[in-house]
Amino acid sequence: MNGPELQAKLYAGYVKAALRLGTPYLQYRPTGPANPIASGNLVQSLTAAFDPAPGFEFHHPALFGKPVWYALLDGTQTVVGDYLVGSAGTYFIAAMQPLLPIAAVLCNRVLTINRPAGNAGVGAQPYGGVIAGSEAAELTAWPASVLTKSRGEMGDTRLPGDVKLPWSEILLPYGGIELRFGDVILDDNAVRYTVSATERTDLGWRLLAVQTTA
Amino acid sequence: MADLADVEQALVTLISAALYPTGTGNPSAIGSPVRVYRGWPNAAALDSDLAAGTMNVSVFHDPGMSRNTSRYWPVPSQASAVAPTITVTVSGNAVTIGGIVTAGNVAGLQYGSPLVTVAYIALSTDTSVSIAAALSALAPGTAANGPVLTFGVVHPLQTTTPRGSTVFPFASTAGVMVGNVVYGPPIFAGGPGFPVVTTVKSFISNVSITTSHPSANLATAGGLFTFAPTYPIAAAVMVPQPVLTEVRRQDQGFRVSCWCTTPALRDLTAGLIDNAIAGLRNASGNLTRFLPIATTPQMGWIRWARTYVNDVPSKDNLWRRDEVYMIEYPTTLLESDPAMLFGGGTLSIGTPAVGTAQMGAPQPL
Repeated sequence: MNGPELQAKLYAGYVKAALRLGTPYLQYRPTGPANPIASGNLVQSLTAAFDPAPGFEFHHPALFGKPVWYALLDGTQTVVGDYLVGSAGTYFIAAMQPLLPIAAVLCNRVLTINRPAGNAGVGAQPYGGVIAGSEAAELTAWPASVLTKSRGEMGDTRLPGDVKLPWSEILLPYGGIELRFGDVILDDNAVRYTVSATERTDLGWRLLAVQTTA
Repeated sequence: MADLADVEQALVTLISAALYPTGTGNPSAIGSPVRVYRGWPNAAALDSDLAAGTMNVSVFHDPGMSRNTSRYWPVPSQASAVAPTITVTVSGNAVTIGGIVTAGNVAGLQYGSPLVTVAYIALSTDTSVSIAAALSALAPGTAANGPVLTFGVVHPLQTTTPRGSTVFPFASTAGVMVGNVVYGPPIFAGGPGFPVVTTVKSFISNVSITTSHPSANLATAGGLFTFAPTYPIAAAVMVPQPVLTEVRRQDQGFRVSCWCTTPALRDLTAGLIDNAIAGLRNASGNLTRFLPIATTPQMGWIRWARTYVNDVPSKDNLWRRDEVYMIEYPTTLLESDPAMLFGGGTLSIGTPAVGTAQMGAPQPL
């Protein structure tokens, strides 16, 4: 038996386990920077089960701050970056490394990522600062994991009632777009973030962003 | 009104003209594209511009470099002349509303003895028809039909020949009886069938009468006839005029920052800008220290304050130079004051006639 044959048997075992443990999920495969969870991106319905531990013992619940889950599903049908939408939530496939469990990230927010645009013309131009209306959309309506990190700092306005603004670690699929520091993120709860650091990995984007508010 | 933003924009316009002396459709004077704008650059756009070889010039006021230099008494002056777009034309006893209805235009009428003045301010929802109706409501004894307002008193025709009156022969034209009647005071003083009608009294000297009755004797037929006034009717339109008043004067520092891709381009860009400001000329071609601000006749007194060359961000492929100028400029209030509609007369019948209160034109420049 070689690696590919072993991989096939492993995924076949995942399928059998998922049939007994799993629930149905809709599988979406993003095809562009906008709306990955759209009917046009629907691939199929498949059965999957998720465990926060890679041993699939289903002994321990997921706790705070742990976005990565391990998936029992038919790995021959999925690729890294696929979204799975089901009753337990929305996941994206982060890793399908050979002979290792399939890693998925549980999403808790839907993000739109914009890039502040400058003036396009030459000579006298309109105001040069960051203006919300002039931002160009990079990614639109992408489910992602947004988890608060411990660090925080005061915002720019420093009003009497201000508190320190939290930093967040954001995980989302690659999406075909090169994100940069300074990009602006708006979540489905109208919370605004500014990207401070970007890390493109084979699992997808890991972003460090600071929440911004007036 | 002149404001900080107007001064910054004036600097942007001046700098852009210096860097693009033949217009932005042609290459700049430094050979590379330059964007000139108010406000600080945003980092993402500046990075992108520097990578593409595009210079940025930002204009921003310097916090802390402010001083109140007010020293003139506020004197209002007319900023520009604005013409009304509504027209009112008088023909006989008919007034026609025309032109383009613009909110804020005032249409007015003056008539009678003693003079009575009514005026109506057009709203954005008004039409010539609604303006005629509104003026008719303000002027008793008038009737509006479409955009035409007609002066005249509709009165029931009496069935008894008024004693003491003289009825001249009437001509019948297309079913309308037209003629002249001279009424004397005794008629209205107590003649049978003619109660004293105050409104009619004002037309007593000479009136023309029309009746819709085709053939009957005016004095005996039923129906209605109209007393049309023979006094002059004047109509006028007015639109409030912009009036500018300097209420304060301040000296403020403004920072012109050049964000360039090479030291050589920085020198070239900043040098051109400083030359343009130092070599400012007035309309006569003479050197001046006064910078025109906005479109109103306001000037800023501009003086160089300091410069600052910054090589620290050169590791980011950025060479920066700032020039700081002090500009003393006025803060002005732009108000809209009513112009004169009529030169005399009673201001209203019943309700106040808005728009006729100011009897003198705003002070000229």
